[in-house]
Amino acid sequence: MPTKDLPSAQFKSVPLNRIDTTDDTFRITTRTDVDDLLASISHEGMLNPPLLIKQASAFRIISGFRRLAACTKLGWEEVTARVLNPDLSPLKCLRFAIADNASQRPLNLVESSRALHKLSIHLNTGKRLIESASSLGLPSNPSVVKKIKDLCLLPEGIQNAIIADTISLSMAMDLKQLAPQCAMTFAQLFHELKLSLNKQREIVTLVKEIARRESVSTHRVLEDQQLQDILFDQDLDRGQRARELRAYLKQRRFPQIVKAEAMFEYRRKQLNLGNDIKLIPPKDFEGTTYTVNMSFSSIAQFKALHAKLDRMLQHPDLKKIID
Amino acid sequence: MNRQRFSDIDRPLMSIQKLYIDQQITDSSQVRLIAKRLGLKVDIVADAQIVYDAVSAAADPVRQGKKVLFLTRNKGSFIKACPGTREYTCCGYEILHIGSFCQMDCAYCILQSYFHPPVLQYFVNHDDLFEELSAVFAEKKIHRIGTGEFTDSLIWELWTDLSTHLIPAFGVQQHAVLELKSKTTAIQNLERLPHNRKTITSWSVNTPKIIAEEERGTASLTARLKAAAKCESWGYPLAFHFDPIVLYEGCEKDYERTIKKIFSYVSPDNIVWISLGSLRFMPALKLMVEKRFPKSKIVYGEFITGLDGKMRYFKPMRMKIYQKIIACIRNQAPQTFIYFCMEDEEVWRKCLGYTASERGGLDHLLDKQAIQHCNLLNG
Repeated sequence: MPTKDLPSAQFKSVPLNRIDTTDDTFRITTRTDVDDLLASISHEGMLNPPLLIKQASAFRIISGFRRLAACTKLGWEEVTARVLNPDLSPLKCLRFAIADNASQRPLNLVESSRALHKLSIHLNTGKRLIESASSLGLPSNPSVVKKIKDLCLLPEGIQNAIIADTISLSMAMDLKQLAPQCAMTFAQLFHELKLSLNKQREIVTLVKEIARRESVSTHRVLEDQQLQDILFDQDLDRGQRARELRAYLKQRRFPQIVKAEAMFEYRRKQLNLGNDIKLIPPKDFEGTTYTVNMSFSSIAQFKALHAKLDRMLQHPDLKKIID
Repeated sequence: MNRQRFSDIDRPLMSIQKLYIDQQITDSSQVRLIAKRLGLKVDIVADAQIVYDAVSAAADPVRQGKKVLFLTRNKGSFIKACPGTREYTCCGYEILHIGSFCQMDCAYCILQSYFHPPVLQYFVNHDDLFEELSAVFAEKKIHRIGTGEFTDSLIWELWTDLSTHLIPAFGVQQHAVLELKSKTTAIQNLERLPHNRKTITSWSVNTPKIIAEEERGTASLTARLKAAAKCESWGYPLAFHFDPIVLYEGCEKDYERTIKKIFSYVSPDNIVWISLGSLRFMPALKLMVEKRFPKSKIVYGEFITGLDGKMRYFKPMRMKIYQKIIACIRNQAPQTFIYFCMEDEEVWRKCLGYTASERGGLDHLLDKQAIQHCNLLNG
């Protein structure tokens, strides 16, 4: 248990240039900015000293990556740190790192993933991992652990999108199945368009299925010029670009269906029904029943609609629609 | 052993690697015969769940289910109504439930997601089967009964003698017809049986491209048609089922060539019916196909959700291919009866020029064909 080993840590003054800041073995935090720490450390000093372990020629950071970066930025030459016994096992060190991070804030999804992934290196993926995760306050449901453990191996852009909440765990799992380059392109696209999960899923499915239908790579579909033109069209706002993109993909995936829908719309417009009468086709044109909805608030209006319906009945486009 | 008995199966079926026997039927002569022919180590099980669990534990349970054979009893009815839906016109066929699943591996096969898990299962309580059939025959009403709904009708010929009992049983009565529907060429047992034209031998047919790419382990089109021609020469009436019709670039020409090929092997006069049905599947099957057949493109057609909840091609696309196929069949065989499997009246009217209900219903039309070709008596 951490409380058993931590007393063996000794407070020492350590020169900053002897701390290996490039060694991320025990890094849990995903944050690299330090601005929020500068004022506090500068005025109040290091209230919670970083945790280090002595290596052959340098000190390895267990926790306190951002605090140490802030000290460096403040121009400090040395810092007071808690230095652990060099014989301490890597697993114990890792547990300290996780516990220290988790005690300061709720870990985000990528940080939890890092913690679980690093634990799994020592404990594999069985019961011991679950028990260890549980004792450290990490997610411990086996199916959740399985889902998030390797998120930290996804390309950095996707991890950033998860942290920024642009893509959900569920979508991250879907993107994990794709080639890294494709996954990144999707992540950037979702970051740019700020789409709901359902719409993200729709786009991924459409792109993948277009690729399979046309025997091309998913990446090639995403790099298509027409698609890129929509994404970078400066005349369109974000919502318009999202709509255009989905329409383009749907047209490419379901050309005959989209063509039939467009033809129906064209003919419905020819009927000149206005806003008070709606002609609704059978869903997907599979059934044979058409529906007419009318709205009116007076007898006079109803009569006007009646006359309009009579004209609609004589219109050649109605026959073309129904037949 | 399979190859020795049926040397003209041009593409091998998946071989049985394990035989499970329900402990309640170990004394059955059927069981002894099948076990002897298979020559495999036998596992006698007290509970079917043992078999299902063993199959479910495999990485690909569907594939595993094709490699084990479970001999057991049918504890329910042997004769069942075809599971049609009211939204589309159903043929009113009855299923003779001799067993389930199949050794062939068609990408689109609904049986992959129909059984949980799918297991090659054969029912040996034939006393019950023939008792039910006798009751049906005694009704003296027209019945069209088939074995090819939950399995392929002829895969069992490799190890059983079912057809040698079933076909003569139908042959001695005059009100019911048996349809054996297959994608194999396992017809050798059918020669010299006293069928009395009360058994229709039928084949599911498709274009050579679909057979090669999507129907793994099945006989080629040529082999199926040679088998059909042989059955015709033995006096059996024939039927063909274009189901599932799959749309792809160039499919129209391929289906036309397939139709011409059929009529180069068999006589139109001996065909009781030809059915047409386009690819349709429950949404869950899509994931199964994507997982088991990653190279298959069949689930990426322009599908909509049909009125029965199944995915179907967009109706104008279905009607277009139906019209082409019908025109081609009409050209080759103007008198041959064509019907749709699970289509609505709009499709019937626009593709065949009439609806089944206008002519007394599809049941009635098919019964008429059976009466005419199989010399059945109505009443």
